[in-house]
Amino acid sequence: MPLPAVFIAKSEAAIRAELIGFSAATTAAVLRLRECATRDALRAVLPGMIAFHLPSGTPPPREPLLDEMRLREDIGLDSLALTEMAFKFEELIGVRIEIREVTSITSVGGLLAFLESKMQL
Amino acid sequence: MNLAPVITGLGFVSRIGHSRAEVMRALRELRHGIAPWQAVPGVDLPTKVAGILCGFDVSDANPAAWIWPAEFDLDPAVVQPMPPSGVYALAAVRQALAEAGLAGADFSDGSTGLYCASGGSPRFQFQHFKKLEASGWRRAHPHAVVSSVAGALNFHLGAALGIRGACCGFSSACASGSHALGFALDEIRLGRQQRMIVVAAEDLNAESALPFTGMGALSENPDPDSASRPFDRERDGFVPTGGGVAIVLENAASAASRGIRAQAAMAGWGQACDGHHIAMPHPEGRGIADAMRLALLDAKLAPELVGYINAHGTSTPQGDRAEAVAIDSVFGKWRPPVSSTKALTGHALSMSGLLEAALCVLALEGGFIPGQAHLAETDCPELNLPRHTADHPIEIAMNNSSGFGGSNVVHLFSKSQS
Repeated sequence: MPLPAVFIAKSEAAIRAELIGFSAATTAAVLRLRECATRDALRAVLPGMIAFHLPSGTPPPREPLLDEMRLREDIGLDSLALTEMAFKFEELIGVRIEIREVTSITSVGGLLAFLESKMQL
Repeated sequence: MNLAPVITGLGFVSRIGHSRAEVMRALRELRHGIAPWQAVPGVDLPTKVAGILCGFDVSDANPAAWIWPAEFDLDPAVVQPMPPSGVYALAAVRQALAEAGLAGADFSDGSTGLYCASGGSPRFQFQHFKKLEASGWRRAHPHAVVSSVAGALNFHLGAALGIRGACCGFSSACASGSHALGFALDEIRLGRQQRMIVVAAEDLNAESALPFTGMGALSENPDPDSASRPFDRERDGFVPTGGGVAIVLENAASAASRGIRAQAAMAGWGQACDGHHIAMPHPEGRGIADAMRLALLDAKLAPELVGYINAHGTSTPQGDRAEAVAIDSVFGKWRPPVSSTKALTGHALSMSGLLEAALCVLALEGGFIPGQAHLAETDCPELNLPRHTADHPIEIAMNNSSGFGGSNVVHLFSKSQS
C-alpha cells in the first residue's frame, strides 16, 4: 500500500526542516522510510523519535528496541511524551491519529503495529 | 542565628546585558539597549523600537531550531517544551544559582521555594490555537497549556530544578515580579522557607507587545535614543522589552553556612491597590503612595533614610505623572534621587519589578545612584531627577512597581543587614 500522499510529496528539505533538533540518524531513517515503506524502515525511525520526546533527564532507549519493551516502565515515555510523539508522526507522515488511540498503546510492538496500521504498510 | 533575608544571587538576560558585569556597567554608564525593531517582518508599524535581546533567536515555531549564546549551556531537552520566556528564565536562574553557590544543588528537602512571574506566552497560545483550529478542534499539542499560560515558568522551572518547597506564579501585570519577590520575603521571614528563588521573564515578540497599542501605551517615537524617556515632558509611551531575571533570597544564616556573601539585605515591602480603574493609574498615585508608606513602615525606616528610588516610570504620560505626585506626597522636602531605569532597558512588563529590584542591588553594591537617562525637560518638577549617575554610596534603595488594576508594590533594600 502506498504511503500517505502528503508524506511522499514532501521535499527532503521540508522533512529536514521538520526534524531540526533530531539526530542525523533519525532524519536519515525518516527519509529512507519515505523511499522504502517497510516495517523495518519504520522500526528504524523509532529509537530517535522516542529519544527526542523522552522527558528531560531520561536516558535514551536501549537498542535494539524489542517489541515487548514497555513504553512507560522500560523506556520512560510518559503519556504526555507519547502523545507529543504521536502528534509529531501525524504532522510528519500525514496520517490522522486520535488521542484516545494513543493512550491505549503500551509497548514498542503495540506502537509499531499502530503506526503500521495508520500508514497501511 | 541571623535569619535576616539577604540576596545572594542575581541573574540577567536583558537588553543591557546577560551578566552582572555587563548590566552593572550599562547601569552605571546609562547605556541604553533600545534598538530598531520590526515586530512583524515586512509590516510597517507605528512601534519601531524595542529592547530586543542579543544572542538569542527564539522566533522559529519549532523550539528545536532556537539558538542562545554559547555561554549558556542549556539542555535542549529541558528547553524544548518551554516558551521563549522560559529559555531566558532558565539562563538567568543558572547565573543566580552560580552566584549563590547553589549550582547543581539538591532542592528536594523542601527548604527552597520558587516564585515566578510572567505574562505567559501569547505567541505559543496563538500558535497552539491555530493548530487546534486547523485540526478541526480535535487535536491540541500536549504542551499547549503548560507551555503558554501565565504559570508556565513555575511549571517548567519547578520541575527542572526539582523544587519541593513553595512553588507558584504571580499575575498582577507589571507588578507581578515585584509581588513574587515581596511574598518570597514573607516566606523567609515566616520561617516557611530557608531560601526562595524568584524568577520573572517575558517573551518580547509581536504577540506580547503589540496588543498594548490598543490602549495607546506604546511609544511611537522611532528614535532609540529618546523613545523611552520617563518623566520627560515629551514622553509618549513605553518601549517593550523581554528577557529573564532571577534573584536568590535566603536567610543570612543559610548563606553564611555556605560561605556566601550577602549582596544586600531586603528590608521590607508594601503593597496597595488604587481601587480606581482597570488600566489607568489613580491621578494622584493613591495606591503607590500607600505602598511606599507601608514598605517604610514594614522596614521601620524613615523616608529621609531612602537614598535612591527606582521608579516604575514606564514613560507613559499619565503613569509617570501619577507616580511623581505620589513620591512627593510621601517624601516631601526630602526629595531623594529618583530615576526610572526603563529608559535603559525598556519596559519588561511582568518582569520589570524584579529586574529593577536586581538593579537596585547593583546600585547598592556599586555605590552609585543611576541617573535619569533621556531626560531633556520634565513636567514632574517635584522630583529630584539627576540626569547623570552619581558615584555616591547609598544605604537604602526603594523599588516601585505598578500594574493594571492599580496593583502597586514597593520594595526596600539595604546595603547592610542591620
